[in-house]
Order: sequence, then structure tokens, then C-alpha cells
Amino acid sequence: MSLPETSGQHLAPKDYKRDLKPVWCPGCGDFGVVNALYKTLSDLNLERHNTALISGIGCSSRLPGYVSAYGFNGLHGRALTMATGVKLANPGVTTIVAGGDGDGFAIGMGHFPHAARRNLDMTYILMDNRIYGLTKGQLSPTSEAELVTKTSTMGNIERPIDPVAMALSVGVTFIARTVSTNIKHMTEMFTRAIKHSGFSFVQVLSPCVTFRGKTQYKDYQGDGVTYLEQTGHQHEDFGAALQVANSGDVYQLGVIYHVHTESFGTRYARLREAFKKDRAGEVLEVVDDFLP
Amino acid sequence: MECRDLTLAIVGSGGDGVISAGEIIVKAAAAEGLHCFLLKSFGPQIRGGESSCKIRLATEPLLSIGEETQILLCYSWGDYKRFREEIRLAKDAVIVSDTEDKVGDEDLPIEILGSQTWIKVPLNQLASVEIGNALTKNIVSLGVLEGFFKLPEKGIAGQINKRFSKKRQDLIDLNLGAIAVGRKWAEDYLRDFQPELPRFAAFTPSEANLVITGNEACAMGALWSGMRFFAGYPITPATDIMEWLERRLPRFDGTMVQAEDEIASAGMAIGASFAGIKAMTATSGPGIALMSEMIGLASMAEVPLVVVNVQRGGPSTGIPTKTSQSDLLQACYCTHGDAPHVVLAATDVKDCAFATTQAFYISEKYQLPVLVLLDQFVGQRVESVPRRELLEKGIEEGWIRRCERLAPDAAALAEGRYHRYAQSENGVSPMSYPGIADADYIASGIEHNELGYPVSDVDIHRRMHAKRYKKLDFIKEELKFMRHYGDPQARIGILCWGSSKGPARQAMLQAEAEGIATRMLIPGCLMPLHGETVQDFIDACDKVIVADSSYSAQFLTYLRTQVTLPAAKLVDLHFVDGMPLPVKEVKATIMEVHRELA
Repeated sequence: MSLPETSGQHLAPKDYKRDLKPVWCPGCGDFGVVNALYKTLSDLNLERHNTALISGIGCSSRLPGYVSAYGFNGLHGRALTMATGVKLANPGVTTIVAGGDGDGFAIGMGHFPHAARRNLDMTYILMDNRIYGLTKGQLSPTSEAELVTKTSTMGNIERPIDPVAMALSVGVTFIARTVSTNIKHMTEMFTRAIKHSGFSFVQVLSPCVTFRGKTQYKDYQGDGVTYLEQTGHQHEDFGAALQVANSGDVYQLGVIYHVHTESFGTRYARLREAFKKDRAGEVLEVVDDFLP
Repeated sequence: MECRDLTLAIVGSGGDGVISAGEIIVKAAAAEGLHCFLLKSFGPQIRGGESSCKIRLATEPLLSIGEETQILLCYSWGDYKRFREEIRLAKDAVIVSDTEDKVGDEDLPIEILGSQTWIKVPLNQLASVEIGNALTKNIVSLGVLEGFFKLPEKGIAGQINKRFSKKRQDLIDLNLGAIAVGRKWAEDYLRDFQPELPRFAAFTPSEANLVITGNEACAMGALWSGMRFFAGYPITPATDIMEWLERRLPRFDGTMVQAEDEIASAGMAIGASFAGIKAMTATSGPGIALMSEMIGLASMAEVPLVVVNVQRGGPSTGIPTKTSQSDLLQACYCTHGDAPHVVLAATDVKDCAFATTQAFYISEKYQLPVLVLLDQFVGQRVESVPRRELLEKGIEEGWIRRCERLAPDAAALAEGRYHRYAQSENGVSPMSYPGIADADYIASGIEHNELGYPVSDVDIHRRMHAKRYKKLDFIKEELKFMRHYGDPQARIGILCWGSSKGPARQAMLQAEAEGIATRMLIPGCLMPLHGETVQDFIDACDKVIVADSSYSAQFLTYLRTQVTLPAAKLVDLHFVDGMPLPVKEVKATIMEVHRELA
């Protein structure tokens, strides 16, 4: 997207921080996410009044409350629908959707393919801790098979969904994966996602220390992860991206897929011009459409 | 015999052109300044099934489609069966059917009375053989109807020209020729047989009336209000609203999106409204059920939102193609918790526009969700409306008016922190939106304080409830929706709502013609209800007839929570949903009540 013109001084990361103490537990991965977001907003010099954070319900969905910008902490699973309305009503607003894996891939799953295929110019940051935190420890659609949780006390008998593979299959035009422990990497991914003109999706592996302990932190470091910049990954190649999405135990981090197609906004603007050619006139005159 | 008021029904199946014939007649009449009604009815098939329409034309303004049909044009008796219940023929009705009808005379799905006139016309033959195009059958029929009943010739010719004007001149000529053939056949028949037929009296053409459905009026009202974002999901009988707006919103720099479901429709509308644009969605009962959580969010986060419900037979999937008034309780109690919101209802086609413009006015001024109840009966029927009555008078009388949201004061913003949910006398706080500097806030469904920060403190909760509820006290007084009809001294009163107005009023006029006085009160704003007005009405009447089209008497149930209805006064006249209030039975009840009081 062409970023909004900014005037006035450059804001520091701390200027995007709201004076509300997060409800997150000490050690929560989401602290890393919001700090990377402050850095991103500062690096891009985005205006607070032209930025909107839209979320659903969940620990991760509390994020807008900690950012000094416009925001809507809406309904569980419905952030993408509300963000669609915000962006279409005011295209000049940098629209960022934030939420967790339950919010986005359980109840919210029905909205994801449509926001994606519309290619709306917005960024969806998924904080994936593979558990339900706010409601205290139930299974999530991204929980690993056999995981013991409050609603799978003998182990999860379902297979998890892979948000990145899902994103690929529904035509998301910018897909990245990162970890909440690497502020520099997250900032880079968020920046590229926001700059992308179209729907961008960033899955952040963000541990829940309270209900998943410290194991996730161990999983997301060292040999557990690979950075795609170092592997020569071709991110315009759908097949290569699919391979990376289904890569088993090692988490592939970085830009997985990135192509350029027209955003919904661009196409709708063209439609408007076509409709205007049909008829001009004042809105009250529409009544004459009904003359026999 | 001459008449100034004619009701016709046309019945056939796919390919017969039933609906286009009906539309041509109604537009022809309206073009010459006559008043008309058109109701369409379909079989369940997507294509090719049975279809029918009922048309009424008159020289005076109309309130309803009328009780009995005077003229039936039946292309096939096989299709008539489906609509038997809806088309009640007058004792002296005239029936026109096709000579070639497959159903034999012995197997008719109707008993043709001796007092009725039955004329068989070789419609199919005239179209296929004489004109050489079977598709012109409905146009030939128009000619026959012109010849028999003196339907407006000039208007019909005008409509033919208009319909085919973008196509070839030879098509126009073909169709005008078809009319001529039909008319000649009818005139020849009249000369040979001289049946006693109703003939529409000569009239002086006057300024054309608009031809419009309730759904269209609603959509246009929204556009006039400044609505520039619509998200919706197809659902019978509300889809027309979305389709009408699809072409027109972009023309005025608005946006229309077909969402993936009703929840998304409401979510998008709320997002757009949060971002500063007047937004709406339209659906039917099942969609409202899906949107209930969203409506609660709009109430809690204080986001303006207009949601239209074009009611249909329920519950669950119900009868999508038939009308109903059984979503009233759902509208009033649709969401969990105490979520203040407004429920308006439209009484006729013109009022669909007014209820919608008022909905936006209230919603934007008081920053809460407003539900507008229409129904299939008013939403999909065609009425002729004088342009002046809708537009100029609408503006003069304040039905059509805009409201901009209370904006934050620039000086106050510069000073310090913006309190989005600041307390105020009427519960309304200045509302900012993305783009306004130093006024950013987080809207939420979670309880919050004046700053918008999440809280779980019960004292703050009580204070914020009070703020949100206070709005209703002001809305109740602001609205001008209490409508009175009839004799203000009458002892017999009628209470009903929405599209029941038409049939009830019709019954009142019939009773009045027999010397029986009645009065009626229609609350156009059902929630918050101005209880004092309704109570005064009840107290002043000796008997009160409470009527609606809902199987479980929803209106009566609701009224009981708002006013005191003494058992001795109450006459419960509720009907099953699926049909409009039946005029005959309302009139019969009025007469019976009158006898009891005497």
C-alpha cells in the first residue's frame, strides 16, 4: 500500500504505547509482539489517528488496548469483518487485525477465506500459542495432536490446522511466519506486511507460559527453527511455499509467500467509476428511477 | 358497469409472462396518475414454477389490495390450484381462461358460480398463430383486458415502448400488434355476446405516480439519509434492498459488499460506522438471529447502526416467501444482557422510506443500533406513490432529515485526554473516528469506563448502564411515530403495528360506511414505546382490539409488558403469520364488538 503521507515529527516506539497495563502474564509471548509493533509503527512513521487495531476476544485480542491509536476490541472471531468495514469506509487508515488462534481459526475461520480472497489492504497478525489462554487452558484448532489440555485430558484426538497452509490455500498474497522472541525479525515481517498492498498475514509463534509452560520457548529456538532468507526460498513460488508450510518439526520463519495482485479497494474504485458513467445527479433525484 | 376501482389476478407458470403483465398494467396506470397496488406470489421452484399477481387500480388512493378479486386471468387451471387460497373471487367475478387449457372443464380446481362470468379466449392460438410468437401471449392478454375492462390503453402502449426501447423497433411493433390483436378479439366478442362486465371509467390523466416497493423505498430512504456503506447477505425477502443499492451506492461514492454471512454483514457495517460512515445491513428473521451478538456490541460500544428486518413466516426457515409479524419479540429482546436499542416499524411503502430515514436520524444522534421492521407484504408489494407525497412532503414534515454525529470539540481535544464515553445529560458522548487527531480510543464490547478502558467494577458498570439507557428516555419523547386514525371519540379502539395498518384501516372505513365509529393507534416506534400514549388510548376506549399477524400474539404479549390492558376491554385478534391481517375478519370483529357494546 502507499503509506499515508505524514507531517509533523517522527514518533518513537514508546509514543505508540498506551498507559494501560497489559493483563498478560509475565513471560507471555504477546509482550514481544506488541513491542515489535511499537517499533514497526515508529519505523514506518504511521500517524496514530490514521491507524486502527481491530481484534476479537482472547488474550491476544487485548492488544489494541495497549496501542495508542484507534482500535476496536470487538467480538470473538469477528475482527476481520469489522476491519473490512473500517478499511472500506476509510481507505486511508492503516488497518491491522490482531488475535489469537482460537479467535482466528476456530470461531473466526469462516471469515478468513473471504477477507483473504477479497485481498483487502490490511494486515492480520496472528498470535499463535496453540491453546486457549483467556478461558484457561482448553484445546485450540492449532494445538498439536495428543496434547493434554483441559478439554483433552487424555490427549487431543484431532489434527491441528496449519494457519500458513490455510492462508496459502485461500489465496493470501503475503504470508510470513515469525517468533515472539525475535523482536528484530518480527519488526521486519510486520513492516513488510504493512507495506504490502493487499491482504498480509503474519503468524507469530507466541508462547503461553501459563498453560503451555516453557516448552514452546524451547521449541522455537536453535535447531527448532530455520530462517528462510538463508535457504534461498522463492517466495513467489506457490509450490515452494506449500512445501515450507508443511515442513514438519522445524518451523520455517520469514516471508513464505509474496505476490502482487490488485487489492479490493483498487478494483472497487474502478467499479465506482463505471457505475458513475451510468447516471449522474443528486441523491434526491434517485426517486425518479421509480417513474413508470 | 362502470367502476373506478378494479382488482385483477393473473395466474400462470414460468414462460407465461404473468409478472411482466402485472407490472405493465400497474405502471401504465401509475403513468396516467391512477393509484395502484401489485402483489406477486410464486411457487417454490426457482424457475418455471407457478406464479401469480394481484393488481388493483383506482382513481382514489388505496390502502390495500382489496378483499375480493373481480377479474381472474388464468393461463392454466393447473397453476391456479396453488393460489386458490390467496385469490378469493367476487360473487360476480369475471374469469378469462385459455380455450386450449389442458385441464378439462370437469376437473376445474374451482367452482364457478352461476353469478360469475366465464369467458374462454384462444390466447395461445392468437399469440402462436396469428402473431406467430408464443411469447407474446401475455401481451395479447393485455389487449384482451383492455378490450373487456377498459384498462388504460395509452399507458399500456407507453410501457411497451419503454420496455423494448433499447431493443429493436420491430419488437415494439410486434408487441403493439399483439395488443391490437387481443383488443380486437375482445371487442368482437363483446359485440357478439354482450356480457355484463366491469369497465374502468374514463378518467382525466394526471401527473404520473411513482411505482415502488417497500424494499426499494427503504433502500432509497437510507441513501437519502447519507448511508454510504451497505453489507448484506442474500435472504428472501430482503435481497431486493441489497440489489437496489449495489448499483446506486457506488454512484454516490458509497460501498456495497456482499458479505459471506449475516454475522459478517453486521460486523462490516459496525466497522464502517466506527470509521465514521453511516452504515446498514438488511436481512430477515434468521439473519437477525445470527446478528444478535453484533447488535449487542453496537449497543455496548455505542456505535450507530441500522439493521432492517423484512419479516417472513417463521420460525426457523419457516415460509420465506410469505409475510409475518412474528419477529417483534425477537427485535425487542434480540441480544443478551441489557442492551438499549430502538425498534421502528413501517406501515406502508412510503413509510418504509420514512422509517429508515428516521432510523438513521436516531441511530446517528444517539449512537445506538436501530432495527427497522418491514415484512414481505409491504417490502415486496408495489404501490403507486405520488412523488410529492414521498419527497417534498417527506422533507416538509420532517420525516426525511439527516443527522450528523456529535463531534468532539477541537479545543477540548487539544487540552487533554479524549473521553469517548463521557457522561452527559442525554447519555450521548462526542464521537470521534479514525482520521481525527488526538481523539483515538478503543471501542469495545467489554464494559468500560468513560475513557473506554476495560473495567469489571460493578459501580462503574451501573453508571455506564445508566448512561446508555438514558438515551431511550430522550428518544421516546423525540419521536413523532404515534399515529392516530379514525374518530377520536370512538368507543371501539384498534391497536396494531406495521403493515397491519392497511387492512385494519380498510376494515375501519368499511365499518364507518355502516355508521360504526372506530379509532386506531399505531406505534411506529415499538421500543422505546411511549407507554403513556398507549395507556391513554386504552383508558379512553370501552373495547380495544389488539391485532397482528403472529401465531402466538406477540404484539399482545409485548403490550402487556408496557401498559395495563383490562381483561374486560381486551379483544385479542391475532392471526397466524403467513398472511396479512384479513380485512373481512377485522371488520366482522368490529361489528361484533359494536353489538356487544350496544
